[in-house]
Amino acid sequence: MSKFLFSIAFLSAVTLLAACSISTSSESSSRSSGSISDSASSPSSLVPSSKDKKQSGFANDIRDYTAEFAKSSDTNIEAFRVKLGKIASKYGVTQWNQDKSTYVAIGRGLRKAAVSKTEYDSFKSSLGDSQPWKMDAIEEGYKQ
Amino acid sequence: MRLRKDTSNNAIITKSLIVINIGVASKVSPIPVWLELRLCCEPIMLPAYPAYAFVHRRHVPRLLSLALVCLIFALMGHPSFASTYVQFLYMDASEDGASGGHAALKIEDEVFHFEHIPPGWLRIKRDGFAQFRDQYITRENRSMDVHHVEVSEDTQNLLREHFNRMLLIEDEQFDRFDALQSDRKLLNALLDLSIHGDRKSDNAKRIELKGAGLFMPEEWQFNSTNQTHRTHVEDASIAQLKGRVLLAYGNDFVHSKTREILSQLETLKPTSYPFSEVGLAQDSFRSAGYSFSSRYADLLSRLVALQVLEYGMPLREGVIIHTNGNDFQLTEKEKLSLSFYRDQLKNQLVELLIKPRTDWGYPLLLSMARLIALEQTISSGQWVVLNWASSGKDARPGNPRNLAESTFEAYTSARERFETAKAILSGKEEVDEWSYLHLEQAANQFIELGNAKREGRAVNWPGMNVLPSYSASVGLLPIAVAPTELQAALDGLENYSTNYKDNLTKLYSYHLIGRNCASEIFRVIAQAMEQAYQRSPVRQNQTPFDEAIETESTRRLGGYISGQGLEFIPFVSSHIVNDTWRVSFSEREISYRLRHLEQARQQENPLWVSWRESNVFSSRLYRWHGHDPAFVFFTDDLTLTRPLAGGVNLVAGLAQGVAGLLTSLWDGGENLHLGVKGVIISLPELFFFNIRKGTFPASISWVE
Repeated sequence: MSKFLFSIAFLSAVTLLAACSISTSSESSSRSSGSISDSASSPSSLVPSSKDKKQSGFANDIRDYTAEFAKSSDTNIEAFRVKLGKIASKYGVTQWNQDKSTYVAIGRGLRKAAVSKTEYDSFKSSLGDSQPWKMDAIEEGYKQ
Repeated sequence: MRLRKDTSNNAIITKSLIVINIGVASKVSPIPVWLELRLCCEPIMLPAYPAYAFVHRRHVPRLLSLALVCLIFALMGHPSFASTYVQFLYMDASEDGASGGHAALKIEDEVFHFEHIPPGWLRIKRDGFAQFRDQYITRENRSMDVHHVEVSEDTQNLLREHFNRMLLIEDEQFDRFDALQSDRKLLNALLDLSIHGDRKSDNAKRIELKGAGLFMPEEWQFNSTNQTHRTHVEDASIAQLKGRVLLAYGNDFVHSKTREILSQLETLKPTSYPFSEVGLAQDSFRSAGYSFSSRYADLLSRLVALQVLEYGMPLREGVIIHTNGNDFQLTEKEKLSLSFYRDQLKNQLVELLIKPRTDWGYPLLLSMARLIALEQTISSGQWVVLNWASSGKDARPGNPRNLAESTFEAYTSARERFETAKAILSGKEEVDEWSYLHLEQAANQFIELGNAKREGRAVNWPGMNVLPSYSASVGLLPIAVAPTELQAALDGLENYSTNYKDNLTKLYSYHLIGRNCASEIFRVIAQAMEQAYQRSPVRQNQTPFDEAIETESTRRLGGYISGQGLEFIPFVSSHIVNDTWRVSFSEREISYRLRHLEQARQQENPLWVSWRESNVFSSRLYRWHGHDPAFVFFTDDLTLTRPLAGGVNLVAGLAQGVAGLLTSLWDGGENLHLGVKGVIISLPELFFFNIRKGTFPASISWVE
């Protein structure tokens, strides 16, 4: 009898210690903007975010990603653009390349990464698509 | 006054004490004034209190003035001095796989936490606090302890940066892993296609394309000889857009672009994977890159978008919602604003086709769908929007009783949000994609909640923050790579993928003891402290490293928690944080059910409410919905009678398990699984512990 009770107590203790939330969102390991079919980091949530919150979240994500990308040895600008598209898609926007805030955020990211003048110029010309307004926006973000 | 002692018998003072201490200083003793002066330099380790016991009384006015200057400086918000908070969150245990509770760190509006994901990995996740609260307190019905830890802004930034960097690194690594799976699937399908041709039409030779479902029927296949047969009436908006495109780039533009994409598809080569090198590290960022399957999917998406443009294809049924009623009528001014946006959108789409973006297929498809909706809105004067609740399969399980109340609340709120969002059309500001998206979302919320309220049904909503992907499966097109080469690419991929998965498992495997949602938070914080120490200008090389991290943590957080002790148990971690860190105050936010129970007790006879809500049969707040294991009594608000109620719940679990044995033939063992789970989570109740709370997946919390 005591063995039985001990087993029950042990089972209960293990159950109690099992800890942590198990993600129920998806079988896939990707829950961020990355996956082509996923579109939000919190797909289960019903709570809407405000437009301002989304816009500032988008700008911060672009800034942070740019900073990490610029600090890394990666030079694949095509992959960088694709990732920007995925971040934008997470926030529901598609025309990120027509949005000044994207380029300002890129400039802020380059600033954050403390890239050299040569690297900065190279990024600016690659991402600016030879369009003055984009390059100006990158410059604006870099100077902030 | 809060003074915390660390092991070296030094005292640590926090900036929020300035005001209190000035008052004390003027009346009692000059000592605190001295302490505050040191504080102005930055939060700093101070020698033990008695060392400053003698400050002459005549210096008090001068010191006091200096302290006041410091106070003003601090209040001006100098980042080195400004005091703020981070919050350590502990969520009670629940039946949804978190029987030990869950822990998280809130930094401003963001919550960082670690989730256990298949196949046994632990991954960092970032949520907005409102979404996190909705998930855990409302729908999972768990109470939450919030410990407000006083930190400097510098420490807050340090923690945010560190957790965020970890998220970025992991996202890239796991995105790459997902890409490897997609590459494998695509290579297999292409190999099959190259060996057997498309005689054998099956799902393996198809690919899900985001946005294709807006226009294309399921199982659409591009045919290079006949292309799409004209079996529909050309959509006028798309025809107009095509006219603009041809005007801008020449009459052959769409055809030549199509040929260009077909040629790119044909010459696309699978990625060559290195034989063994994987090179993953937890602190090293590496971009996920642009995978073979993503390239292929992007090319095919562009092809689909060009087909829609070429043939002016109409939207699929159910993609847009036509509204009626006064709430959705447009004024002339609103129509004018929308006309400007429509024209702007057309210009953007014309430009998009020649941009150096490789992923313009989906944006073009989505924007063309929006263009159709906009055109119809302007011409009819009544809102026509993309349907965000496009798929019935995502409907949430219903709970009509509590749904009626929460839906009504949400409906009223949604109406206000829609009205507010429409303000953008007043003409004062220019409408852009962000504001139109917001408006489209608000309109969808209002429409769907109105329908749910009217029809008394659950809200058909996969997530109010998310645009549906409108995916559809599209037939694959072959690439000009020989089957032997495809097979070689597949072999290389298999090898690389296995190594990659092993690396991920090494870095991110979940361990019940030692590496879980609680211990990982402390480990990452310790890393942040290490980083801060290494950057610190006052770094002392002779200090042992562990001690230095401990000192840094004590300076910044009020104490050090290694994550290697009993704090791996989330509910223990909550107590340890409270005792160790500089917790200014703590609060408890009670769960959804307990909150509503409290309200009901205030409005009705409390004894009657307690009895009625004690069990699932008579409860008005809760209705069993099939995702929870069967049970009879709620035990989270019981103490002495918990084992008794637990015994009844145990029997209910056993009964469901036994029934599940019989039904497993046709329900895939779902009832059996629930029954076993029910038994396991009832056992602790026999020993006065509670895990089960009952979940509320259909509840809507409408708090931003």
